Amino acid sequence: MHIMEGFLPPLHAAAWTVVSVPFLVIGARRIARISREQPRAKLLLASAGAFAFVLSALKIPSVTGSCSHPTGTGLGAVLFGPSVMAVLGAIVLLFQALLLAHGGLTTLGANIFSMAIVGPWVAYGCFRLVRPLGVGVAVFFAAMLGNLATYLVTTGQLALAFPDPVSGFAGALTKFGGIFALTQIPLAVIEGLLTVVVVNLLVQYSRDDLDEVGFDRRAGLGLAREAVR
Amino acid sequence: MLPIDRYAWTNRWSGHHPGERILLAGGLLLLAVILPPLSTAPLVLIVMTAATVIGAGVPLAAFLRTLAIPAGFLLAGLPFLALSLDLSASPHLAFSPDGARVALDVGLRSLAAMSCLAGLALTTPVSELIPGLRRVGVPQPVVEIALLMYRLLFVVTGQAIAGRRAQEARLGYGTLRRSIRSLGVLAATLFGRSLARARRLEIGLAARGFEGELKVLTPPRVLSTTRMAAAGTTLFLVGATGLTLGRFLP
Amino acid sequence: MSAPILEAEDLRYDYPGGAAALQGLDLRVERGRRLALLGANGCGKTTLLLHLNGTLRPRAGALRLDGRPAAYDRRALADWRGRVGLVLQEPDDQLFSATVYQDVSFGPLNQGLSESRAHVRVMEALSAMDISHLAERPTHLLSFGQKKRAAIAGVLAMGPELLILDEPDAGLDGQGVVQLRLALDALQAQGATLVFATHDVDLAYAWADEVAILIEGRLLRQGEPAEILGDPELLAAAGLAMPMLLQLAKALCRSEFLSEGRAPRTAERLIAILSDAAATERPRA
Repeated sequence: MHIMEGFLPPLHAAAWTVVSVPFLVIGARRIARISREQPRAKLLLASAGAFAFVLSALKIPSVTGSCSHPTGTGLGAVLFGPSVMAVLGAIVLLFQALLLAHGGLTTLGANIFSMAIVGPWVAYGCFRLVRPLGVGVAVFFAAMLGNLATYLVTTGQLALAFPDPVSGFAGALTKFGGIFALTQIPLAVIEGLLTVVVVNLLVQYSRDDLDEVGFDRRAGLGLAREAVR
Repeated sequence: MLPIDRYAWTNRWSGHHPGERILLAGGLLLLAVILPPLSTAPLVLIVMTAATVIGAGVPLAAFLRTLAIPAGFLLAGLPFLALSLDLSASPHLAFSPDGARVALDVGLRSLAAMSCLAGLALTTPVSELIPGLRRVGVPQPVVEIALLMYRLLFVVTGQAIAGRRAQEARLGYGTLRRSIRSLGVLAATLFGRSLARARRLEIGLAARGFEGELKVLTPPRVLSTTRMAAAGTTLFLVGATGLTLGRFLP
Repeated sequence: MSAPILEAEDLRYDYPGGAAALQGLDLRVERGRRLALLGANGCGKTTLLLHLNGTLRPRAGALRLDGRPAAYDRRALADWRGRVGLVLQEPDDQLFSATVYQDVSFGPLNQGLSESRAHVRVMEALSAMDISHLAERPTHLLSFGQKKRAAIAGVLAMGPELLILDEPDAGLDGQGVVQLRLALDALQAQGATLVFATHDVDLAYAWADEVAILIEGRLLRQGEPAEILGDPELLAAAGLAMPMLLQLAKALCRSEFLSEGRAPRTAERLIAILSDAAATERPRA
């Protein structure tokens, strides 16, 4: 869920930007190092980023009949790793603001924090934690919880900015969270299922691609691959 | 494919130095966010609309269409700011005058800010804004990646649209179950193609001497002092009026 | 025959998966001529092209540029690619910049030219491809034909002596092919050598000075278009059809409408011959 342009008070907007910057610096340094070592990495990362942009623009069907978009944070995090995903996600969010008027420039920091930092890290953490139970299960929980975490953070950001006149932060959290819970839990499950379909297809047919972006290493699939050969 | 992008390339100001538009739209955005909304926001909204539509010649309909979706979300969200939730023994929602005031301020501020974003986006191609990221300390490789992403996302979007159509033509989105499956196949295909394209791009660029840097010539654009001064004056007038009026308004 | 600008001898290359792509391929590219590489899908055309500018390195065999064996170190490759330009089949695989002007400037800058020299090269290349008016256009808003010409301009701007094109006509409409041919004709008139891969026998017959037929990673024959493309057995072996004009000319010869000799290379020529023949026939009828 993008927080729209101008919605956050200036102090909040600035604070979330400050919170996001260290993650972006780490990710950008990593990208700069990878591209120095391997010139082609730039081409690969840009392709991955363009893919992420398009993925987030695809409409997913939802149970209520209305349409929504996948966050793609889970898929991005397991495919490319969370620190690189922070930077790619930030660029995607900037492009969404400038090309689709989706989100905003003043709220970019807050949106980066929820969608390009917390979402991918939660997804990645889940993936590593649940991985022993199988790649499919791990991908499902990674994508689902990554999606939910993004929404929880957004809810928290809104509640902090607009505490309820009567019941304060807790009330606002309940108020905003209540709305999201209804629509968001089914969407998170759908995103989880969707991501499983994608990763299964890639594991079946695009092993080399996965290898190239480092997924094999992260998922510990390398050995299985040797055994297949 | 992306209508905002098309206007960004074809409007009357597209030959001007992007710095002029960044100053105007960025400055107004800043004013909209920090000054009292009740007095400033309407001014920003009017000035930005006039600049985009009369100045840059972007059709008013295009400007409004760009604003419509985010403004719709905004309208849907504002009532929740005006309602208060009592968490006591019998939780209930009630109208809150304080909340309503916050909703009014946020609504005006956000709408004005959106007009600045729309104005900038409709008049300035993304590829002319990205190089500016260098100035705020974004490393060169990341800027190059962002520029290349901008180019590639049109290619991937084209494939996504074509793929979706082909799937729909074969009833791939009939049921929820089938939709998830179809979308998954589409995403996996796009991923594979994106990586394959990266490999072919490497061959194509290597043939032109690529060794790691994506350096290109950009025709020099002159920063017009007149237009910069005009933008500065506009900002000053909007800021001063917003501040002054703000004292008389509640 | 003059000395070849580029020469391949017994090239062998296997794809990482293990499949053999080139199996002892020989090829001579004569300076200043148009050479068409013909062959069915999967015969190794593209693989060969990628060898001709040093993108792929053969497992065995030799490539000679102006008689000197090819080297694969950084400097040699940079020099090689400045002299031998490669245009890929799909322009979207090559255009990476936001505007046409920016994209075309990439090669000259990589050659180490100054910005002003690079600018001159860009303008020359754009004008050679007749797309000067598109310089400031965003790449993604171009039509396919315009993209194709922008991609070629990007390579031309490096001033190559030899231009390699993979399927230059693929995806272009009739007018697009004509425009492209005119632009390439002009280049050749200035001394450039052209090598293009295609499976369009009609294009090869009408336009190439020489054709080379590839089959399963080897050269089947190289020589005169009329001779090679008029050989039904050769064509059958390569999985190619005979050019429409040659088929017609042969049929007309058999029914004695057309005398033996050089077959016409263009439809206009054939029509002229036939109208002449008709004019001389008519009084008798």
